[in-house]
Amino acid sequence: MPTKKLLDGNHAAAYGAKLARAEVLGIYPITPQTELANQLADFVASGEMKAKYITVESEHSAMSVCAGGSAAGARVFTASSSQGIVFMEELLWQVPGMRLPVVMGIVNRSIAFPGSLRPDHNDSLLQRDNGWIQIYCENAQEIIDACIQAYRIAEDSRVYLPVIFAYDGYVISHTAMPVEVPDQDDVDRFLPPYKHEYVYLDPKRYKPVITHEPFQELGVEYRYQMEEAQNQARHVIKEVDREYGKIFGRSYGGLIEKYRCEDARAVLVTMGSITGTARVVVDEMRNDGKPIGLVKLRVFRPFPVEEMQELGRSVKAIGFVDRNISHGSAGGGVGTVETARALYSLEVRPVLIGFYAGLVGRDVLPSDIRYMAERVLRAAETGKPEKQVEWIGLRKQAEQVQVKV
Amino acid sequence: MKYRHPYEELGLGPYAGAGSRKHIFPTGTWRAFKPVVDVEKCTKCGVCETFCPDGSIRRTDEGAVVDYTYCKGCGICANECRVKAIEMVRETE
Amino acid sequence: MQDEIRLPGHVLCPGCGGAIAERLIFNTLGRNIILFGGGVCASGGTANATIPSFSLHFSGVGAGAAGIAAALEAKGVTDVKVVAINGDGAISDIGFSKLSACAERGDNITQFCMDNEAYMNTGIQRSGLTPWGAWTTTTPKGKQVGSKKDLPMIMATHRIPYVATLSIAHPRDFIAKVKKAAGIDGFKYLHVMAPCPTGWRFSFDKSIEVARLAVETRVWNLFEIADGMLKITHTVKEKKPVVEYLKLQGRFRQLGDKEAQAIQASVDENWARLEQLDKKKVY
Repeated sequence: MPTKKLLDGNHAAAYGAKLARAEVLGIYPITPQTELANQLADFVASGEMKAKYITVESEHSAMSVCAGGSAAGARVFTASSSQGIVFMEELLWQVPGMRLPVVMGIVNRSIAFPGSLRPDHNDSLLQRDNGWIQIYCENAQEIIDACIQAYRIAEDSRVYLPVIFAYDGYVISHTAMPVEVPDQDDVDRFLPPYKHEYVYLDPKRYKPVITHEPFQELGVEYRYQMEEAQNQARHVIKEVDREYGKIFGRSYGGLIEKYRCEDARAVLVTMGSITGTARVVVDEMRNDGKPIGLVKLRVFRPFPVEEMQELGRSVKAIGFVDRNISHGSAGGGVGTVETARALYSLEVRPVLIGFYAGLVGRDVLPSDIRYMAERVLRAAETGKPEKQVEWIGLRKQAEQVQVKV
Repeated sequence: MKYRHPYEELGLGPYAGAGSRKHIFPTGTWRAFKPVVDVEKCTKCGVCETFCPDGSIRRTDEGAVVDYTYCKGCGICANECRVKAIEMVRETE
Repeated sequence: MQDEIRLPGHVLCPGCGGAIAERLIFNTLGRNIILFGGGVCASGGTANATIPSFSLHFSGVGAGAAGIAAALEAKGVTDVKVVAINGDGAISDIGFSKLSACAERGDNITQFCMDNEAYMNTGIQRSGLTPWGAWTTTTPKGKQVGSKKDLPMIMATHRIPYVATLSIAHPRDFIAKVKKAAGIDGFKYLHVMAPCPTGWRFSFDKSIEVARLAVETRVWNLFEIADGMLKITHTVKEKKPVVEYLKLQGRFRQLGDKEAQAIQASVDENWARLEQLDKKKVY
């Protein structure tokens, strides 16, 4: 029987890993992920979770443990944030190249410097080139569902790529909501035991050998295979989400979710926790009769090109809310730039505005979202943006921030 | 319907079956000198086999036997042979 | 030959000490192992292994092998051993913290260090295990600063069940230690001195000779530390002066008499200290 628990994001992720029956955990604490690492340790210590918890000494080792464990046939799990993700960056290229279905939770936190303990998406979006699939979760319920779905997606024989499920630090990781924790038997039915068809270190069976020198010859072909896997993942993610909905009653729309986009003239595209705030604001504005819609970009990799193109055909203006920055980019954060490429081939393109919102963990308030929505609505009317890129929440004056002692 | 990966004969990812011929090179072409065993002197002690870096010389009851496809001609077997039964001869081919 | 666990036809140099060591390891341990490599010249050599072999570049020191061991334990597989072979660069420099953590956690792996005393694969650059005075491409006047890290002692003080030093010139001692380590549960550290003709600058038929001289001059001593108890496993009957070892290798060519004497003094001091610790508890 599914149970209802009051869980915050970190605990929900821990329950997800437990239900998915992860067997090897190599995890290193970092704010704001620590409660996740601690909860998993509790599960293992109490026997609720039959796993080997390796207390690694760095995130680099955490991902090494996951890589080794996954190759040797065990289901693995790890999680990290910001500096930790960057510390394991070397491995984050090796793991997808080795086609190992590792699942990692990223508790989004801005990367120093300037950094903070609060969220922005640069740490997970940094992995957009190396082949990891990325799912962005809006709330704790979605986290537990995304974690279980992640293993199904990663271990699909058409994919065999590792999966990140990301959620905002503190905003989601530390705020609780009632979460329906799925029943273990249902999860076991949905998620069969891990068995990699091609990679397994077993002296009695097929014996893979991975080295580097001779494979330079075939590197292009291996990268082609990986790109094909990302293409296949578009179908697999939608299939898995649909099936999950049938069994557990909750579905998230696959790659994107459109909220009140029927007859919308302009939409905002958001990722992560901003979506939750945006829903409220869009409802208010719709009550005022404004033709604004909201698109939740749930999956950033593989990028939902078709869905964004379909969106581009149906609205007059798109505002992408980037909780990330790519310094020196062609115009806007990574979401804006990717969307621009997706929309490039359309004959009639909507206006595209890039918003930098929530960088380095600054809160994105309902008033900020309202401002962004007004901007795109205006751009939809005039047919061109006043500015291609806008900074939200930027304090223009050099304010002295008084710290009360 | 099973999905067919592109390049299925390539295998998935940078792996090779263990001992697959992909990384085996005919390293015998490296050498300038080759070991020649005097089977009369050979005492069949097996020291050459123990110390060969390539596993290219084997102790047999008829005397040490060299696998010239892979022997790199390093000369350790000749240097270590206690009865000097191995001579390093210049390759003429 | 063709029934070798690591097939010939690999790309290691002629006369490679590491290759000799690996053959001894594989022939002792058999086929029921998973090999974990990386960061060694021999990562090119593990390609021809007929046993499962996995490499993660330097990220694999310790943690990667620990992951494999954990997976085997999670699957209930008890007869397969995880063997990690890494070079001195991976072990003493870039992977030092990972190795130390692995030892502290007591992960169930057998860790070998192929000590060829420099980063040989990238072209003979100095490492933390390069001896004082040795030429490398990054210490062209000879290593002036720093000395050879005493890895066996460092690992012993992690309180691991087994530490041993091995020499390819003493195969019986080598094999006995490998067998002993394989029978123990926990983190085992075996340090192999692997002479490198290319990097040490000697003719490649002399690898075993150099390894033998290293032991006979007491530059490299053979001992084991089992559960903290140190035991010297080979006592040299006729000690030779260090210059016999130094003069065979081109990498020590720039050393004069004064330097050779300094090396002799430190070798003697090291041996005296080891003799004192013989049959005593190190921890």
